[in-house]
Amino acid sequence: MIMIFKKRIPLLLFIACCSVFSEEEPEAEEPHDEQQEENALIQSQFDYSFEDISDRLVAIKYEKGFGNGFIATMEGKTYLFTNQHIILGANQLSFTTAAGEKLRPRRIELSTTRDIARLLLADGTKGFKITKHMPMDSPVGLFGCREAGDEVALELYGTVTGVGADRVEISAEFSAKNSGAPILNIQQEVLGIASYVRKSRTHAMKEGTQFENRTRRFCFRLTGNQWKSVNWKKYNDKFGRFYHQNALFTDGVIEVLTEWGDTPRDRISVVEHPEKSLISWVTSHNQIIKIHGGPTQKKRFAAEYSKSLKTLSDTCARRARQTRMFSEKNKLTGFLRDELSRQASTLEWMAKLLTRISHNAQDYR
Amino acid sequence: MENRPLISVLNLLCILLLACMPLIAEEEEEAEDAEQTAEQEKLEKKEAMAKRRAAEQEIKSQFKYTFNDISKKLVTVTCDSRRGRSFGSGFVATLDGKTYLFTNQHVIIGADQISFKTAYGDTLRPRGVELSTTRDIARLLLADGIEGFEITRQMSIGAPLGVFGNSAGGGVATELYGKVTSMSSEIIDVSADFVSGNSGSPVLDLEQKAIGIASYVQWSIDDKYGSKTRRFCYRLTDNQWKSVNWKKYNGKYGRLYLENKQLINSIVEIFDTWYDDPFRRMTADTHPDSNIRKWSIEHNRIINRIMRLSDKGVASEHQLNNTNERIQQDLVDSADALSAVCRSRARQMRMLSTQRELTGFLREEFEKFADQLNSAAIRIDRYGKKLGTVKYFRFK
Repeated sequence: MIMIFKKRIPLLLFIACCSVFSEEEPEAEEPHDEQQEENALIQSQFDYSFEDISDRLVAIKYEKGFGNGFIATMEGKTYLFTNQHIILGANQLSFTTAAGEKLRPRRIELSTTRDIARLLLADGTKGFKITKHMPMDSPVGLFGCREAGDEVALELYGTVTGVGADRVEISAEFSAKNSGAPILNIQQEVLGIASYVRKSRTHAMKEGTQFENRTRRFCFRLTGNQWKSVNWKKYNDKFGRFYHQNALFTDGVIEVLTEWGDTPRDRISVVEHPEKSLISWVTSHNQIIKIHGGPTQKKRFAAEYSKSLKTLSDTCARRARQTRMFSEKNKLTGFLRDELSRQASTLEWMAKLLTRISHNAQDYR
Repeated sequence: MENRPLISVLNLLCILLLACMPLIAEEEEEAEDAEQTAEQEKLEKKEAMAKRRAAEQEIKSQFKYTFNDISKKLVTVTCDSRRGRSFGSGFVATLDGKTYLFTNQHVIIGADQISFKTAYGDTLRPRGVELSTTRDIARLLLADGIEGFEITRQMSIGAPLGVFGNSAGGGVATELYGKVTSMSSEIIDVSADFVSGNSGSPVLDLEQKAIGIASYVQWSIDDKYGSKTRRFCYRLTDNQWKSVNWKKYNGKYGRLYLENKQLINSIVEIFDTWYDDPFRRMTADTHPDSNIRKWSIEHNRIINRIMRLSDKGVASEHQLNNTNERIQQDLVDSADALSAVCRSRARQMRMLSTQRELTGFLREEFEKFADQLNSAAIRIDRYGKKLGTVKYFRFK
């Protein structure tokens, strides 16, 4: 007896879902000719360049990464500004201006609602002025460093294309890697801090409009913030590392699922990952493929295979619950609260998806 | 002579190869054609977009004021509820001698917390809520002294207009330009390409006067370039307003509105999944709606039973028929149960829509929900009947 309707593991569903994740932080696109001409026109309005302001641009280095920052004055004091997502979870941070001067911040304050951190610097440090005025269509420049080590200057030009109470949208085509860099006007004043890149989700309503498949780039405004002083070591140890670890876990699961989705009956080759629980799952899953993956034990294989996916689903669900709990802690600033809540939703979604596949894998032959 | 058989074989191979060549060439040609068509489509799309942008720039050039002159009157609306965060737009305008924040009812309904911030950075704190009795508009009273747009009923077909709001929920106000393409006493049809997130945006004329509020978009899924997509704005004049106790009104109907909207989405998702594969297990076992939850658990039990039967196998034709009948009956029962859930909820929605307290917008929404649920029930019944006739198992 055979079944007319056969069960299949929904590979396409997986692949589709993975592309949703990859939409979150798209890479910078190469500007086309017309765009390059337009950018050159905007650049010609700036009478200064990277070299003139390199003493106020900061390269931030940590164990395995690199980010941008800048020095600006606010409320009579001088601060180093960067994004919270750059410094959270890092064990060691070093701050060097693009001109080569080492900086030693004294205290950290976090914006209560936006992804910004300000680090108090010694009096007398030269910083940019901050402005509240950000006219639509006005020319802006993003200045930063491309890499750690021998910092390579980065200059991107564009205009203000959207204005909000706490953020502005600009056309300068920066990538997620450039976050933390300052957005300056032609008077060398800071309009905002490059913070995130988002690709519009496709929808029939957007077809044929400028919002179809559009990559949008947002910068948080520095004015109108509430600041909260934190004991950085404590805050980072408790929440920063958790946030960082979660991000690693989520990325790892996506990596595993992407590979698994291509060849569901093959062994998974992800063997190196900082998240130990994921590696131990991969090991046990590969064991199932090795022992029961042959043609003779189809039923047993289906049962074990399904159980293995359920184990990963349960791990995601457990983490989701823990993350949701953390996101409700009063001590958190708005950025981390929103981020943890977003991570919890992603983990819940992954758990749900894995449960569904695990259910269907019971009949996988 | 000895070589003849070899020559014959070679000839035969050549003939076969020649016969295959056109097939291979045809396949290659088809692939090339498909690539060319895709390239052509991409080019056409790019040209269409460039044309639209040029037309938009031409309209923008007619405006004597800029975005920066009006940024204090443009509002970004952020709503938080148990289901997450959503965004919309709003604006400040004066009507009947008072200053109000205008937005759509569908932007704020069901939200636990709402924040209103101008593009300039100011936070607005409205004092009371009034709802249009017939259109999807809410006006929220603001303190005296706040500057707002004037509202006008004057407009003509072809007149240039600007839509300023939170396009695609980016949290920033953007500018879009277009023309009035048609109008009635209640609604204006415009060519400005507004999208989700723009709901509640002001539609302004050349004199900075509000002629309407961006409210909804109608589109066709087979519309390649968005040319059949129509965008509608409600007029702000000649409305009847009803003052409501927002906390009470929203607590009673807003929650139901969002819950049922989500329920309908879930039913559509369930039906699509089931339609793709009759033996697919459902993942609605933890759904917030208890009826859907119960149905999903029971349905999964049925599927497990079917799978056990499939593994067990049968020995005779008679047993095979019995098994098929059993499966047919199980699936028909499950379809009946799901359509019963839809019908019962449709009745509730119909009843809810008759509540006197409701304004026109929510009344129509609940009626729409009832229609959608009834139509889902009909489709599920039809599918159930089909499932009741299929011979699932047969001998190899």
